[in-house]
Amino acid sequence: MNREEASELWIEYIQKELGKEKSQEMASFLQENPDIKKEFEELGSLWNKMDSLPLPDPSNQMDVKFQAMLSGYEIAQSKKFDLISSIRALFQPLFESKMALASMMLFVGLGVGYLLSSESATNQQLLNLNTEVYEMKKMMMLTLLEQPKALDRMKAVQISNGIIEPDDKIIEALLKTLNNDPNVNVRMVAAQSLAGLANNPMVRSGLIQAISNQTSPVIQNALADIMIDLMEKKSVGEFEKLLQQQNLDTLVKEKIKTTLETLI
Amino acid sequence: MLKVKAGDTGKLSLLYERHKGKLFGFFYRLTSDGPLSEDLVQNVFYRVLKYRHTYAGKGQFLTWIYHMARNVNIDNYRKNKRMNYQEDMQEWEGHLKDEKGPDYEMSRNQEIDLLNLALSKMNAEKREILVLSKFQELKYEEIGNILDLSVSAVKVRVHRAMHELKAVYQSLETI
Repeated sequence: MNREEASELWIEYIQKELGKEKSQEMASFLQENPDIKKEFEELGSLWNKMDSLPLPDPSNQMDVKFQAMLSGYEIAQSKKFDLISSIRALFQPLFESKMALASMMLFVGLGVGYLLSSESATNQQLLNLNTEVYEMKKMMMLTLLEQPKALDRMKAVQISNGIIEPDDKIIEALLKTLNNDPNVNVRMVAAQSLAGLANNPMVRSGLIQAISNQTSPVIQNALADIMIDLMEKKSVGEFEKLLQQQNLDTLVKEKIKTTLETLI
Repeated sequence: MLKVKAGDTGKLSLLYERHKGKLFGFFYRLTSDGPLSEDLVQNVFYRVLKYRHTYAGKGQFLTWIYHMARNVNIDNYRKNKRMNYQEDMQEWEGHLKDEKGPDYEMSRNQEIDLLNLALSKMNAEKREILVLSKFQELKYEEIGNILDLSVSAVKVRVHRAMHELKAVYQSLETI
């Protein structure tokens, strides 16, 4: 063995991947060349030190952006996508709900007018206005969730993200979307949205129950990630049920096994 | 991937789930910038969709997607005209400066900072081969396919890259 050959084999030497014969050859070469041995050891030490370099996890935003990109691409590819009609479709429920819109405008107008005219405007009045806006957002979200276009239903889930302390009806709607929406991308954003509300016991139990209902590997994977993040041991039974499914994707099967190892 | 190529773009989600972590790691090790790395991962999958017709099949998906990732990284580098980790480098350099004193002893964290700094100061090609071999857990054959090199050339280059890393690391230690 010469220096050049030893250099080529260095990486395998360090990782103990050399076969028996080459390993012995390398050992005797290094014994005869202490300077190279020292050099290899120093490089090996640096190589091992690199194991301690930290790698952060990507944020949940990466998944959300990916789903949005994929949905956008699919819609564009379907050639049904037209900017004007999409904008129109997006706001269609608003126009359809003219009464609600008129009511909201009336409430907001009355509220603002009252606040401006009255010197005794109190926090209670502001609270009332907030309630009306909350109800309006909720109504928009629930209406959009009923729309036939996946883009509208995704928009509905996005609206729910902007609602602070969503009530049971909103949570029920999101869980229903996660379990029943025909579009996997909509179900995915619903899962991510619910993950952000996991402190709520109703959400947590809904997410757990959703595990064995899901047939899409992507959602199964996402729910496994969510349960690991939450370290939710109560999900173990549902994952075990899922493992019993015969047509379960191989990758998902591996993922669930790893998830169970983490949770148990 | 063949299903994606055939138009079942929904299957891209599965590929994304399978490869997002590794690709994020690849970009993070090259740029030291988390949010930027997330964007670059998105770019890769956008390109996968856009250029899916160029995928030849035959189980070479890993090579193909890393080609995309390398191109995305090169485009990003050209776009910014400077490496994006410059700010982080300054941060690390600041760290090291702050911590130095008469009783200065290098802690484990400082060693990590120094090593990160040394990696960021390396020649981009050498840094890339270290990222591929050390952090991406790719086989030498796979790295060879990605970089269009023979297996022995990959091994020699890893060794040379380690030499450069050691030299940069030692030069920083003496500052």
